[in-house]
Amino acid sequence: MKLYLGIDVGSVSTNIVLIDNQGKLVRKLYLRSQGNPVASVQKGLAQVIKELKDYEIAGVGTTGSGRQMIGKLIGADLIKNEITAHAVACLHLEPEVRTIIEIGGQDSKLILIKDGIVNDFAMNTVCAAGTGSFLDQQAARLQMEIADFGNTAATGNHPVRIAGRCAVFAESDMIHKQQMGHPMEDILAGLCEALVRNFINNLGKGRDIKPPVIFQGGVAANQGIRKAFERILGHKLLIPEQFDVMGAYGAALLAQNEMMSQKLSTKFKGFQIINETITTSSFDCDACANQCEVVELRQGNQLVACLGDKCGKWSNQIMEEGLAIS
Amino acid sequence: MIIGLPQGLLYFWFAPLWREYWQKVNCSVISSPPTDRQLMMTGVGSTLDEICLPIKIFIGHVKWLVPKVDKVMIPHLVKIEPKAFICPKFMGLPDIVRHTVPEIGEKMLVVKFDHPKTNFKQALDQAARQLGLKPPKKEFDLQNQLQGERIWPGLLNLNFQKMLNQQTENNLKIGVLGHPYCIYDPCFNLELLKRLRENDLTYYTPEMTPICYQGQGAGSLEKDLFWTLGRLQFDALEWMLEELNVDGFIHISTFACGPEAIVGELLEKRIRQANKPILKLNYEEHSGEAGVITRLEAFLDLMKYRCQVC
Repeated sequence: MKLYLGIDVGSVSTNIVLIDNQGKLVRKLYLRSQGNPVASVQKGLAQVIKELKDYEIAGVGTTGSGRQMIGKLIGADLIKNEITAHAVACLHLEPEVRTIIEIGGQDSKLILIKDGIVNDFAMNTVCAAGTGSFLDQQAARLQMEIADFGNTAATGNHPVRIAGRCAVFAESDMIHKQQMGHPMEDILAGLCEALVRNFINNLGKGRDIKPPVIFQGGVAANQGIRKAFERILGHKLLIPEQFDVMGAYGAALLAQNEMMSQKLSTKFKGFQIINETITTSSFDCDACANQCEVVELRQGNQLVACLGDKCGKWSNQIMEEGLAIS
Repeated sequence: MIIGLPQGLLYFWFAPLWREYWQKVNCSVISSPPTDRQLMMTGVGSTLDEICLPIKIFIGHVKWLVPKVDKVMIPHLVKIEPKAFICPKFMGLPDIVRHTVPEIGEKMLVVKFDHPKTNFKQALDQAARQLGLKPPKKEFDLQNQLQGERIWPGLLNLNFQKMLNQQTENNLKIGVLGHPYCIYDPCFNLELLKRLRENDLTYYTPEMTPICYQGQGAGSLEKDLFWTLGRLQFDALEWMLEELNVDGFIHISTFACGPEAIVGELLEKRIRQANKPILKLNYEEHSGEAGVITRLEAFLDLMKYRCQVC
């Protein structure tokens, strides 16, 4: 069986999917990165191929903020930005979709579809307020599991007003409301509403949010946020079954399309990577005033990739050596 | 005497003119090098945090020049055309420099451009006299080559016209809008123009706008814009929409820029009316390129898809 691998290396989670020739999902996995993307990819790959028999990886796509590093490490055939990857997966599952709302760990995106293609998109700017990592932080502060957080918020029937523009303001506002004696579920519901309003003001900016609206990304698991969106938008939200791994799904679909249409053979380096010792180190290059922070990736003792240099002094050197070996 | 020109802010418009002038009065001229991480961090480290990044970068350049030259020219740009201003921070630039780079002391050479009280030559003449130099009798050569009032972007325009002729027509075309020190400083915008070139895009900038479009875009607004840098972008927008029919726009601005907060919205409105896609990029001092690359890649995908459909 020919399978295609998609990996989304995000800020909070690492997601892996395997799909078949028809683009049907075979395996999926959502793993918390816990600040170590390489280790979580290794762990994830090991889990995803467990008990899988008679297969061959025919193509690999990576996406997410760690896509370059992981792509180089495992030998990806296609490295794609997460906006395109999310849109591709969503259009595959739901060709009629007009609006995609995606909220992940550090990013939130609004993608508008017209005639089956991405017509416009917006992404949060400098600040990560209102994304998954902020919700994580608040859950940790309240000593609550993130899964309970959403469910509790969904039971709040009188959301209190919370300042949602800035994460710092939101937090102090929440603490203030807590001390005033408001019940937890109403505070959390208020927070969800504030974040959704922030999303619509910042990313929506007067854009026409037309149904069907699909909500995906890790935060789509949060009942409180779902409810707040539905209340404010006035539309029912569709949540795809694979909402938490849509980026990886998109990357796999793109890889499958590329490999099949171009009839290429994969550059995938194989699953032995799971058991290798991968270490990363970084240094400041002092060859010029740009002071690039260069990251080195080592597999065992061998240097396999360099990233982060503007001029290519280090990354090209690896490429040349790599060619010499192969 | 050695005059130093900091390579920041409106250096990108005026440098050829300034350099020619000081050479005419027998000074040697050196510019600070293009912005790099070190210069930027020097500037960031010595200014108040609420000042915008381009000013911080400028301060970095001034600091680099001070030990190497006799005078550092600080342009004091109040007005360079009728009924329009640059930005309060440009008007206050000499004061900002005086307080953040105290070691500049007597080396500071302020040239005040205040249209219509002084034209370009008069402003520089005044500064030359202060230094005990005899101003040249003749007008600038560069100025003579140009027609029309808007000489400043025109200076660059001369070079750009040559460049425009060399560009091929098959690629996707993109209009890049923003202030010159945002567009032409690769360290500031994390090499945006280079990335566009590498993706085989043909890009156009406000400074390439033909002189005949002066006032065309800005004039069609409901109310007069009184920011010179904003006006030029509207003229450029008109040119890019009407004559070039570009496939999309990128708007670059610096975090917390007051004028661009308004101009950017007005531009976006007009661009949406014309049913063209726009990507707005807002920069602070981050060196992590991931954010810019992701947005740019997705935007280029979007432009390609839209082109395939129509």
